[in-house]
Amino acid sequence: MFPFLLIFVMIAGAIILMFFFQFGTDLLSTSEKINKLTVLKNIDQQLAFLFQNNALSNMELGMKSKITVDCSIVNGKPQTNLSFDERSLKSQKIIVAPITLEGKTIRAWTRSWNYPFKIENIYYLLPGLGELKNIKIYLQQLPPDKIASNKELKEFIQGLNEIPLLPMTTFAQITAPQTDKKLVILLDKTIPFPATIESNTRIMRIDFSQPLESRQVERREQGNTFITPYLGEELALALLFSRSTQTYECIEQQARTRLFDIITLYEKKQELLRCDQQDYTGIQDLLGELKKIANNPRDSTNNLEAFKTLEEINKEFRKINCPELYLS
Amino acid sequence: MKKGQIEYMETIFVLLILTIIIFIGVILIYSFYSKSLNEKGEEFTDIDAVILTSSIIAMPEFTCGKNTNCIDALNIWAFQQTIHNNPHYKAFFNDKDITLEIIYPTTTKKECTDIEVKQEGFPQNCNYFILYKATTTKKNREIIQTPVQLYIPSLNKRALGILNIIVYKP
Repeated sequence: MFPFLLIFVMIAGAIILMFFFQFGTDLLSTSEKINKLTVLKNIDQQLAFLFQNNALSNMELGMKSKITVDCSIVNGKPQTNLSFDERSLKSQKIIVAPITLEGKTIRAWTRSWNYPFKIENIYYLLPGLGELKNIKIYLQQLPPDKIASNKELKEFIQGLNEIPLLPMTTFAQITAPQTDKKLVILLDKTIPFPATIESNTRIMRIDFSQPLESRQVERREQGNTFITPYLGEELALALLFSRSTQTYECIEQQARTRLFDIITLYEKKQELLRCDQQDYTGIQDLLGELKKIANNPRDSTNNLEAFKTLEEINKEFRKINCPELYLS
Repeated sequence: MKKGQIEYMETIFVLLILTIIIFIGVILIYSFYSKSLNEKGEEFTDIDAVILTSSIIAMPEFTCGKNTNCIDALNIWAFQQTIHNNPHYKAFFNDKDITLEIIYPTTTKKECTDIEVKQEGFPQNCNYFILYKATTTKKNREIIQTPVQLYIPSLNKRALGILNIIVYKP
């Protein structure tokens, strides 16, 4: 009898022990998944509140995290994905981050992409202060008179300087900075792309001396150059901050889809706007031009000045007390 | 029955009771854990609703401009007429009813559709816009309300409204 009882107790004990071990492991794994999802939800929530002040925010994540931000095309539609290991969260926001964000904090700021009316907020993420050694932004130093004489260049530099705590340094020579990861912004063609650059350095060049209709943004990394039309500083920064040019193309598609939607909305809205002093039919044509840009910004027949003209007409409506298409 | 057999039966009985207690304990832990998971799910739904509330007011599709808490009535009308069925908004509004109710000045209790907006009596001829209607069959719901300013550019008039977001929970 005794050996049978002993064997029975040992087998039963082993089964119970295995069950509890499995149970404990499952609990830990589920808790970990929930915690990771909570971190991702918190990021999405904090970004939603960030648009109100446009300031840089330090987001406390509550645990050591490893966040990846990417954009992928699902069923022909671009989609932002925030990932923390195997957990991911689809976000409707346009978010860019140049590298995997490791640590307990993330720094984020947002810019409203106006073309010329507000289209969407673009969110930029960087690692927390502790991880700053991994990334540094260098801006080409230009003579003050050159900056003063170009309104758009001046606004671009002012815009960059208004971002608090951005780890940005101006430089006169591209070979000067030595860090693990460099994001370099060139503002004219007086400094050419160096023949050889470190593999972890990413260079963006915008030549503000070029007129808007022919201005382009170039990104060079690991010897490859990607060129795209200039659609505002917000998207230019998105190109610099995107993990890859493929990610940027996905982000640009997201932004263009949103632009197309809002133009469609304004085309409808202007049908109900009336004013004795001003005719709204000109607006319809300009919105049509913007729709062409939204469909294909690389088409050389696009009138890239259309958004400036629309902005001027809309301001004119305000001056003569006619209802504006959009309030700026 | 022999004494040894009785002791053996007692041992089996004790083990049986012990196993039953352990299993009851495990079921209880599972049920508590499952309840806490449901609560976490509801918490996530609430977070989504908070994100949505703060986002809607700032969305270029609806906002008056840089003023916070201001919604353009003609933008809502144009949204209803054109892009409200786009996949982006379906994914964004995901199982939520979103309405904008005009509370001042007091108006006729009727939905503001294409007909009402185009009539001369607008905005007195209707009192609410439907921004989005959920397609869910869920019954458990929670309403989140935010006061907003409503701007009517064609009349250069302002009204007071409440943005209602109805969140459906499992």
